[in-house]
Amino acid sequence: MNNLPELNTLNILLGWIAVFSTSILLITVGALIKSHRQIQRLREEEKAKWQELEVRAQREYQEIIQNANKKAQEIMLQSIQIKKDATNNFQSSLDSIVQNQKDVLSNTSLEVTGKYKELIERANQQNIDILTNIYKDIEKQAKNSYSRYVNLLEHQTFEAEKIAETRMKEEYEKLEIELKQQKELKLQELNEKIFKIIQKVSKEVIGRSITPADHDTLIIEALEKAKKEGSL
Amino acid sequence: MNPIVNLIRTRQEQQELIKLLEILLEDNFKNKLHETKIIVGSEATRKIHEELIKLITSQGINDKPQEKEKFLNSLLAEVKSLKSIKITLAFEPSDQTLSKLIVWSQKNLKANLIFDISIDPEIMGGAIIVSDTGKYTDSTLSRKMDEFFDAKKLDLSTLL
Repeated sequence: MNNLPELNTLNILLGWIAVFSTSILLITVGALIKSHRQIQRLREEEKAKWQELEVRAQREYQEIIQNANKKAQEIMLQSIQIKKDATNNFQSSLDSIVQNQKDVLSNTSLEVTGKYKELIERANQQNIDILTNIYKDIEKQAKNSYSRYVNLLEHQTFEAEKIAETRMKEEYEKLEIELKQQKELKLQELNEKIFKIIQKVSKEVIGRSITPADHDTLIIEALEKAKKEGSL
Repeated sequence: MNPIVNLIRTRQEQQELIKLLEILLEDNFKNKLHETKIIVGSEATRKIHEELIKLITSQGINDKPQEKEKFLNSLLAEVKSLKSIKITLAFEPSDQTLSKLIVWSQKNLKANLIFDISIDPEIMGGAIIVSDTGKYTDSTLSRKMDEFFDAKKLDLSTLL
């Protein structure tokens, strides 16, 4: 019972603390909820802004693409036109160049043909003149040479005849001697051949006419001769 | 001297007999002499073979290999020791000619000789003889005729 007043104070204090804590907790929770709602709202706003930005960006992008296509088409049309103009211009200038060239060549050809014809005719005439002169010179020289040659030939023929006569005489004598020698040699060879033929024929005839008994006798004679000579 | 040796006349017969004896010796302990199969070259050697069989049979040693071997060895030694005369003839000698040569040899020469024969038809007849010491004697018909023609050559050339 003595502790009752103390207990009461403590209880009151604890009650106060509890009340205070609870109210702080409630305030804090309330603040948290509020801030959470604010964050959510901010997020939604942000999302809506982003969507709007995206839509706008897409729209701008499409516009850019359309403009670019348009520009490209214009450029292409312009380039086709330029090409067409350039081709026409080139063709016409080419035609005119070709025509000019033809004219120039035609004129040049005529001039050159005329000039060369004249030159060739002149050269031909000169050649004919030169050849005619050369021929005349040669004819003249040949006639002179021929008469000298005839004289020389006559002179030489006379001498050659003399030399030939002497040489022929010498050769004839030499030939006669050679022929005589050859004749003697051939006769000697012929004699040798005849002698050999006689020898051969004689041997064959004698060889055939010998009987086996004669052969035996000849062999025995040979042995006896060898014995006599001391070979056996 | 073994009588078989007297039957050999030429170098060829000597060589054939040496071969024959060697074969017989090789076969001595297996077969009797006549049972050994032998291909003998010439007719003369065949006859010598027959004579040999006769001789061995007559001596009664055909059934005694050891005695037979002794006999064959002795004969082989005799056959091998035979000396020969080299003789060149114009033709292959007949049996008769060979016999004449052997008879002459046995009569006129001291040693028992056989003939080592070669043939050269060019010599026409007669013989070229070369002794075992190398002495050479040309007694051929061809040479005799050459000598005759050489002597008569001058006479013949005057005739031509």
